[in-house]
Amino acid sequence: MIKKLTQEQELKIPEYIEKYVAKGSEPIDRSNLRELSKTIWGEEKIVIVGESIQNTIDLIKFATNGAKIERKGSQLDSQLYSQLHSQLSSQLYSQLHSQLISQLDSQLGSQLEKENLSYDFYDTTWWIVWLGFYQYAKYIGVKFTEETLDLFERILGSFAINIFVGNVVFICERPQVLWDNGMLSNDQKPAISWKDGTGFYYLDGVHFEKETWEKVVSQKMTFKEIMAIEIADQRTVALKYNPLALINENATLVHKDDRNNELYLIEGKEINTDLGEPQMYFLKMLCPTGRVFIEGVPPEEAKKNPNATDMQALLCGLTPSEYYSMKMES
Amino acid sequence: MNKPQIVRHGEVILKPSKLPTGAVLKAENKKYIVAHSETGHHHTLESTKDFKVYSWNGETYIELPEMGNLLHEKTGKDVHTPHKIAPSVYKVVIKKHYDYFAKKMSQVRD
Repeated sequence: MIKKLTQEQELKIPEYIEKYVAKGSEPIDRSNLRELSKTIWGEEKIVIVGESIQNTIDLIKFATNGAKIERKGSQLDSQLYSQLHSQLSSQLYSQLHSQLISQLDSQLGSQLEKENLSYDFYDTTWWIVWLGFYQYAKYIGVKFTEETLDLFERILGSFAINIFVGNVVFICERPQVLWDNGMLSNDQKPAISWKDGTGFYYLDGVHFEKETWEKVVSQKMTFKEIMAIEIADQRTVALKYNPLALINENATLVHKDDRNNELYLIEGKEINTDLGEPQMYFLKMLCPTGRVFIEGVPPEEAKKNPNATDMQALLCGLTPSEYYSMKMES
Repeated sequence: MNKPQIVRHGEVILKPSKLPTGAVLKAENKKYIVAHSETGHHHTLESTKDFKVYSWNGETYIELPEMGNLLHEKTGKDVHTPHKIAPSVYKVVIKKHYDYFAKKMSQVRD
């Protein structure tokens, strides 16, 4: 009975989380699909791989000529188990399930519904959470039937998002996924994307339609435009990506220096109430590249010392004298 | 420029420092990505001679025996101009900001 992790084993947990989160966006192995289908269903299926959700739906529509598809029925100490669950599985679960799987399923479900297709689909990405758990358990000494574990991994590596159409299984290729701090997020391209150019846009884990996403990442939205976004989560992210809007419409200049640093205060506004922050301080600075950056300043520090230069030094991890003496800046 | 001094390159700050006792060597190469970028626009330090990168208490230190170049791997607009870096030991500091939405200090990302 394994009762306790060694320090080395515990330090390995983040490595496993990273590895199995990455598995959720590895391209599927297409070499043994038919053979594996026989292992799974006891009979060889016709397997068709779509390159994206859209492509898979198009293939289904083509293959069925738009017809409706019938839905088919279809060794650890308990304390250690809890520890592993909270440290390993729940983190994998939170990133893979709460973010990626729920988003993929919701996008696929809504697109199939939009196409008026009755469907039965299964996303195996969820099982990658368990694969990560099993492989870590194996690493710390739990015995598995190697053959079964290997088969489990091969199935997950080949059958990603599966849509069942009679005797045919349509598999949607796994997408490329861009994470930022455990959240689906990218301000340059779709955080979930496929090689055919289709994808879904996210910022800080929040889904945006392409048009809104483009507005948000342009960083040119006005405070009013941001507040007009109906979905609260999207509005919050838009505020974060367009801090200049706050400065333009709400903020008071507290102090400016001769190094293009300006310290602003926002108080008594709706945003203060929304975020539960009675006083919010921001530094506005002109980067040598020509871009204007806005960065939040810890309110307690700014209240004590409302000086733009000193606050810039603080954010740079420097003392004020180190910051003043810095000559090489770009 | 032969005298080590504080250098700022976007969100990256190289600060002349002493190598802490117990620092662990984690890389030795002619090129090191000082700050990763999601979009591939990394800040990298390059030198003609191998230099050592150490880790200590969650911080990164670089021991540069010869002149190096701090570069921004980006083309087009918004590129941070390169800096010549004098031989020394540097502590790598990534700029932070206060995230009012998360209510905590976070590293700035380019």
